[in-house]
Amino acid sequence: MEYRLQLIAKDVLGELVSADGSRLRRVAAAICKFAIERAGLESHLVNEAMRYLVSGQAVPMRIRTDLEDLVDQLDETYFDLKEVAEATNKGDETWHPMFHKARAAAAVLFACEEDPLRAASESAFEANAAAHDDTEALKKVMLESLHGR
Amino acid sequence: MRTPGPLVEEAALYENPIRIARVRATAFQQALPPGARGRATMAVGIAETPQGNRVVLVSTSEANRFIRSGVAALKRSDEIFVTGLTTHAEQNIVVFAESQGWELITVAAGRPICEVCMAELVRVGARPANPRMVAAWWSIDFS
Repeated sequence: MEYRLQLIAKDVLGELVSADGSRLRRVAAAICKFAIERAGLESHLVNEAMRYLVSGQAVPMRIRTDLEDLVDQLDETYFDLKEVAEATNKGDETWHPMFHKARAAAAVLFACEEDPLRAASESAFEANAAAHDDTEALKKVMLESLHGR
Repeated sequence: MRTPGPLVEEAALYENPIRIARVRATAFQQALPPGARGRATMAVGIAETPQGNRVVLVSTSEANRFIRSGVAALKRSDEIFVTGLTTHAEQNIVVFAESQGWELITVAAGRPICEVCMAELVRVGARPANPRMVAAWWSIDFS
């Protein structure tokens, strides 16, 4: 399976495949904004990356490397919280927010990919998890940015 | 009556399902990013439909319908992702197979199977395919 987006929005992936690179970059930026807002992710590093993504510029490797570290750190915290919750019979609400933040950061990281189709589609799959599986809202954001509405 | 398929792999699902499940579970576990490899669990189950067809079910312990990028890249077209039903990969497979009315033959996990999942596998009569668990399964008294 080349793109995870086909698991949740095969129809939108079909539209992305025929879009040009600059349009895909715009979609990826919109996806990231959506994911960040839904997950409540606050990070200067993410904001810095977003400035490049929104302006359609390539994100410097230094920022991408730092983003990878951020995703790893958030994932580690999410796993820590999940393991504690499972050991103490606490609910998913104790670790879900951190999972969502990790996925939002990962959405931004994937949006930095050189291949614009991979950037948009993989970012979208991560964003869907960041947005609590609100796939309909994600598709709306993607289609609006894709068709310039 | 099942329809014979042309793939050698399909025949192996009948001849040695435990091995197939174990090999695929190990491969999917290795496909996780390093930070998740020891924290999340990938599981693979072999189930049989009422028509006698065997299918490969792939699951994760991660939340909702989330699948890691490397895992998705490894998925074959005839494998089915089963996600988001519980937060245990093995239980996702049990729940899904039961909901479909399929017989669960075996389940392998990329990490040791926890007691709760083990009990679920025993309940539905599925054989744990992890090497250390196979011996344990045979020692269980089902009478």
